[in-house]
Amino acid sequence: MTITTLPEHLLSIRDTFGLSLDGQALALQAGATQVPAADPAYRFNPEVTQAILAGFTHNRRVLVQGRHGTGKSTHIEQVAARLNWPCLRVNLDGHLSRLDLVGKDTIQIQDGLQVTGFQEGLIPWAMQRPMALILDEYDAGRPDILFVVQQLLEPDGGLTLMDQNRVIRPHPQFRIFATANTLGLGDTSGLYHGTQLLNHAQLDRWNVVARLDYLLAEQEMEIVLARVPDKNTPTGREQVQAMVALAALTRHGFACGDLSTLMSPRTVITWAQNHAIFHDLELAFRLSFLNKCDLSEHPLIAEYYQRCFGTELTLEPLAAGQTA
Amino acid sequence: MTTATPLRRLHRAHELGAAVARALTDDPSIHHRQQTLYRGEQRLASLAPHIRPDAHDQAHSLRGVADSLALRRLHTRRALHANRLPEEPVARLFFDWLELLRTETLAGSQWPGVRQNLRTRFERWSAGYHHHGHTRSELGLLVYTVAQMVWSRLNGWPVLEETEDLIESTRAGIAPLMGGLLQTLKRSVADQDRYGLAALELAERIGLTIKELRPATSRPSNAETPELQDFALLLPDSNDPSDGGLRHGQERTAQDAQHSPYRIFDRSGDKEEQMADLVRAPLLRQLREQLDQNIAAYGLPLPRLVARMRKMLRQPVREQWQYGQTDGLVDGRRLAQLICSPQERRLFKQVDEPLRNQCAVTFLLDCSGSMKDQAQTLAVMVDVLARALERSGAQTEVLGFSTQTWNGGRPYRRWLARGKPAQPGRLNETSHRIFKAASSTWRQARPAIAALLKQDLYREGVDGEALAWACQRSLALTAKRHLVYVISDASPMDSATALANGPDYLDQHLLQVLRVYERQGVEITGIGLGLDLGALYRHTLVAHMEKGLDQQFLDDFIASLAPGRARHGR
Repeated sequence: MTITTLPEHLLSIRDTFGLSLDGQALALQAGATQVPAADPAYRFNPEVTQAILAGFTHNRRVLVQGRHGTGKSTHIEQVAARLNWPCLRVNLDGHLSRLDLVGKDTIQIQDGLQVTGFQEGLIPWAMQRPMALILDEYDAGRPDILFVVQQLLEPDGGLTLMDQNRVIRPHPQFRIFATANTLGLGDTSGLYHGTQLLNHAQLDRWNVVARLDYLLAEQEMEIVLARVPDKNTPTGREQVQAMVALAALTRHGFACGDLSTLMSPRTVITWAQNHAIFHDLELAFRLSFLNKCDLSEHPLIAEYYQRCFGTELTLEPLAAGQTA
Repeated sequence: MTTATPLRRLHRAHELGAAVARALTDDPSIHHRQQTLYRGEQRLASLAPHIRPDAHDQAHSLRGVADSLALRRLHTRRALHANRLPEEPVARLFFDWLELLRTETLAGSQWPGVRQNLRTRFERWSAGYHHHGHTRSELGLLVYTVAQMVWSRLNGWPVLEETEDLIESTRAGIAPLMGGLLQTLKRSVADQDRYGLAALELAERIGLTIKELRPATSRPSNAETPELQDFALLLPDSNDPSDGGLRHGQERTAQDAQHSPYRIFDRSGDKEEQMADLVRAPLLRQLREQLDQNIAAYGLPLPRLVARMRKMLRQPVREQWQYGQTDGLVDGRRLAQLICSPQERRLFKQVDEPLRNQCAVTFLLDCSGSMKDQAQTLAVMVDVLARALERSGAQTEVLGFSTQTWNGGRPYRRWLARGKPAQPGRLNETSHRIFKAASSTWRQARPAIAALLKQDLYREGVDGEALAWACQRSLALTAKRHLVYVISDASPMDSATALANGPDYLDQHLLQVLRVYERQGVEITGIGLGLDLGALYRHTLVAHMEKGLDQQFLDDFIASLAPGRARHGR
C-alpha cells in the first residue's frame, strides 16, 4: 500500500485561528478527503488550541480533558479543519473490541473460493495515512483496548500485528489525540458512569494534557449567536445572555451536587434554535432542557430560571416534592 | 395525605435559597440552618436590617435574602471589611449595611431576577418598617431616610412612593451630613476599598448624629421609650453570632462557645438494651398487631417506595466482567476453546450490575417523654421506612435512646451525697436501645419495633452520647455511605444534668458529636417532629405527626437520601 505524504505548508496561528498567539502551524494542502468541515462560528480556546497545534505540528500526543458538552472533540476537529488534516473519530465505548481496532481474519471470496484473509482494523488503517486519529471517551475504554493504543503513544511507536508477523510504522503525518471526561482518576461526580481508572503508565505516555472548561459567558454567547443568527438583535442578545447565565447556574448546581443534569453549550444552542421554532422561550426551555431533568429538580431549576429571566417558570403541580 | 404545612414550605424555601446561593457563588459549602445561610461553619450574615428574615416572611420574599448574601459572598473581601468595621454599634450597623447595599448593586445584568428579588425585598422591608410605625420617631425616620437615600442613589430606583413626602424634610436636613459622600459611594461601587472609606465616614457621621439625638429623645427615667425600642430592633442582638461574626475578621459560630469538656459523672448504670427483652412477649405481640393495623390503615404503596429509595441510594461500582457465562457478549479469549471443544458453551461474558446500594441507614429515635404522644405515628414511620430501605438493599438499624429514670436517678443521688461538686457532667443513667440491629432482618425485628408503642419506656434524653453510639455502630458496618437520621421533637433534655451543669450543656455536646462524625463522613439528618431542628443539625427534615405519615414527608425523606447532598457545608 502506498499512500503518499501530502504537501505541507506553514500557516500563521494568529491569522488562522484569530488568536493573539505568535507562531506557525503545520498544515496540509487542501483537497484531502475526510477533512472535517470548518465552522466559521467556532471560537478557539487559546490554551487548548496551542496544545492541539503542538500535536499537529510537533507530533505530540495530546489528551484533552473536560466535562461533557465542553466541545473537546469539536475543538480538535475544528483545528484539523483549518489545517486541512483528515480526521477519524473513534469512540472507545464498552462494546468496541480489540479486534475491531487491530484487525481480524475474515472470510473473503477470491476467484470464487472462500479464503481467509486479514482485514486491518481501524488503527492500522488510520496510522498508514495522513490522518488525525481522535479517540473519544478515552477513559471509558477497557484496559485491553487501551493497551493496544499504548504502543502507538511511544515516539514513532509502531503497531505489532502478532498474527501477521508485521510491524506497522506510522505515516509521518499520522497524529493521535484523545478526549476524556475524567483524568484517569475515575469518576467522583457520579455523572460519568463507566469511566475507568487509567493505568498511570498509560497516562504518562500522553505528552500534552489540556483541560477544556466551559467557555466564558461572552464566548459562549458569541457561539450561540453565530449558530442562531436570528438572535443577533438587542432583545435576542439579552435573551441569549440570560440563557447562558442559566446554563452556568446549572453547571454550578451540578458541581455542588444539587442537580444531576447540566446544560451544555450544545443545549443552549438547541434551546435558542427551538425558540425560533416554538416562538415561546419557556416552552422551548421546557422541551430542550427541563424535560431531561428529574422531576424533583424542577423547583430548583425554576428558581434559577427566575434569577436569569425575572419571570416565574410554571411547574406542573406534580413536581413539588415528587421524585419518581 | 396532606399538603405542605407553612413550616415545611418555609424550610423548602430556605433550602432552595441556599441552593441558588450555591449556584450563584459556585461554592458547594454554602448551606442553610434554620433561617440563616452558612458557609461551612461560618455564618453568612449581615447586620443590614432589610435582609433579616422575620416570622412573616413568605417564600418569595426570602429569595432576596439568599441572593443578597450570595452577592456579598461574591463581592466583599472579608478581611478588608472586618478591619474597617467600627466598634460603635450604630456606626457598625450602618457601615455593614452600606457595604451590603454596595454588593447588591453588583448583581450582573445576566441576573435580572436577582435584581428584582433584591428590590422586592428592600421595598417590602421599607413598607413594613413604615407600617409598623417606626418612621414616627425622629430617630426611626432618620435611619429610614438614610437607608432610602443610599439605596435609591446606588440603584437608580425611586424611593418608596408611599413615604416620599414623609422623608422629604429629613432628607433636606441630612443633606449636609451626607455631603458629597453619596456621590462618592455611587461612583465607587465597584471598588470596595474606596467605597469603604466613604461608607465609614458616612457611618461615623450618622453614629454621631444619632448619639446627639438620643439623649434628647429618651428620658433617663424611662429608657424604654418607643423610639429607642424601635432602634433597638435594628441593632443586632448582642448574642447574635452574626454580629460577632464580623468582628476582627473572625467568624464566631454557635459551636465556638467555650465549654468545659463533656464528662460523665457515673456510667455504672448505663445500659445497652435489646428492646425485645424489655417487654413481655405476649404484650409485644399485641403491640405488633396494633402497629400492623395502623400501617395497613395508611395503605402505603411499599413497592413504589422501595423502587424510589433504590433509585436514590444506588451508586455506581466499577464495571466488572463475569466470565464463563453461557450467554452475553462473546469472550474473545475463549474462541480457541470453542475450536478445540465445539460443545463448550461457556464462551460468554456479562457485565456485572454496575449500580449497587451500599448504604447503611440508621434511625435514632429520641424516646423522651414528650415523644409519647407521637409514638403511634413514629412506629409506623420507622417500621415502613426501615422495611422499604431494607428491600431497596440498604442495611438498616433502628435505635433509640432514653434514660433509666427521671430526674437523674442514682448518679444524681450520689452527686448530692458527695456534696454537689461543680461541673459533674451527665447525671443520669442512659439507656441505649436496639429495636433493630443491622445483623437482623426487618422480619426478625418486627416485634421489637412494636416496643415503641410501650409508653412507660419514654423518659429523658441525652442526645449527644446516643448519637455517638449510633454513628460508631454505623461506621462499624461495611458500607460506602453511612446515613443517620435522628428523630426528635426537641433539644436534648435531662433535668438533673441541666440543673448541675447549665441548660445548654447537652446541646453543646451534641454539637461536638455532630461535628466529629460529620467529619468522618457520616451523613446526619435531624428529623424534627413539628419543628425545624436546624439549630442543632445541619441537614434537617420536618415531619408533622398530628396528621400521621404524609406523602410530603416521604418525598422529602427520599430526596434526603440523594448522594452529593452530604458535600454541602463541608
